[in-house]
Amino acid sequence: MKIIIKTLFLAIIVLVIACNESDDFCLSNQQSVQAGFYSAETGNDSTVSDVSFISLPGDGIILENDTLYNSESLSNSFLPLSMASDTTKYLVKILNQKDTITFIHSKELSFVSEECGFVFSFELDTVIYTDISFIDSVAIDYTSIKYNESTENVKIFLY
Amino acid sequence: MLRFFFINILFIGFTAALCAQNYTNQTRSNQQSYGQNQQDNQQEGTPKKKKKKLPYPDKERGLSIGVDVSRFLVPVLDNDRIAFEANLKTNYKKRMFLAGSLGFESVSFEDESTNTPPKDGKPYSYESTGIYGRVGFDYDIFVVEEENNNDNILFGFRYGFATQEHGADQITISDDHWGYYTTSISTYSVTTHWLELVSGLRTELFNNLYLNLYVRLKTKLASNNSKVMEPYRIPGFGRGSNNISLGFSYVVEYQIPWGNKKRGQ
Repeated sequence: MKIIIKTLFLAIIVLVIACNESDDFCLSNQQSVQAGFYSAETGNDSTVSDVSFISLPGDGIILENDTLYNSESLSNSFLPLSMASDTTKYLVKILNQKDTITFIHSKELSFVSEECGFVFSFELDTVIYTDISFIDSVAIDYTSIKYNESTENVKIFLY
Repeated sequence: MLRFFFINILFIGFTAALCAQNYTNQTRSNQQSYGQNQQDNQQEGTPKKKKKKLPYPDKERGLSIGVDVSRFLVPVLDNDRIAFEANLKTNYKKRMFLAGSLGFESVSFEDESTNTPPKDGKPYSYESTGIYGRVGFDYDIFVVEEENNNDNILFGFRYGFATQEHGADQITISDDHWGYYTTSISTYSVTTHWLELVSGLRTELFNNLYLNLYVRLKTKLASNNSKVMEPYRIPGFGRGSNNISLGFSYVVEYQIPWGNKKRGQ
């Protein structure tokens, strides 16, 4: 009986050590508006070539690199929202034509995990856009931007 | 085919007879002789041997004072944490123990993600100190004939309670495009209640010196945490974001003999 107890002791120690390790892996760049391109005529999603997104930060915010996408072929884009300001403005360039999209949003601190720390969850309030060159309209589809969610937030309709 | 029917009918008839015997009183007198026969059969046949039930032996009783030595390993495995736990246990009735523990745990780590170059690690500074207690009982299922064997196999419940002060001095949220943003959560207190299902082995190493190994399955009952931040560790429970937690204790304890019957009586 002593032997049984001792074996159980050992088995439990091994089991507990094996179970106690937990690995977290943390996702990065979870604070972006997911915006897709759509054709205004058909309403179908479309891939657009030679697209650039350039950040237009507000006063006092200096970015090392304000270019997010540089002449890329995109059907879908991820536009990070500013944490320091409640508005985030992007200049959209297709070939040499320009338009701007401005997001007005609110943020809330959100806990991810003990190891990964915190992120902001955003709530899209309004989207303001210029329709000078190629944007027909911009519509908000899904207002919340949360960690580990990949729902498209905004539809950009192009001529 | 015919044989199949025959066996079935025989079987149904037999079970019907059994039912009749069990539930009908009126026909009892008619079946008296049959009952008599059956009784005889039972006596003649091999009766079901009753397993000899051993009485619970007279184990040493007393008041145990112990320390959870596994808590000393906590800073070795995770140098952000310090923990300590003291235990008290006493016999209750024939084969039960009343058990209680009192412990302390602190956590402290720095946010190094804004250093240049940034270090890997948790992207926030955090500080927490707290105490916890748990009370409950154990039931010993270990019955052995061996003389002077005072070992136990224990099953029991605990109610656990922890209160801690925690806060995050600096929280860094980084974004590849916008760089990083810092904020903080000032220190506030959190109280947590939980329930444990424990299973333990207790063995006597030397005279009156015991070693306990406990495995604990803990379920959070309630927490009054009012902010988004979860405790990095709830003292005595485990990760703050977990609702179910598995823990273990390795308690070395000294039993002060108390309330023992004299051996050989």
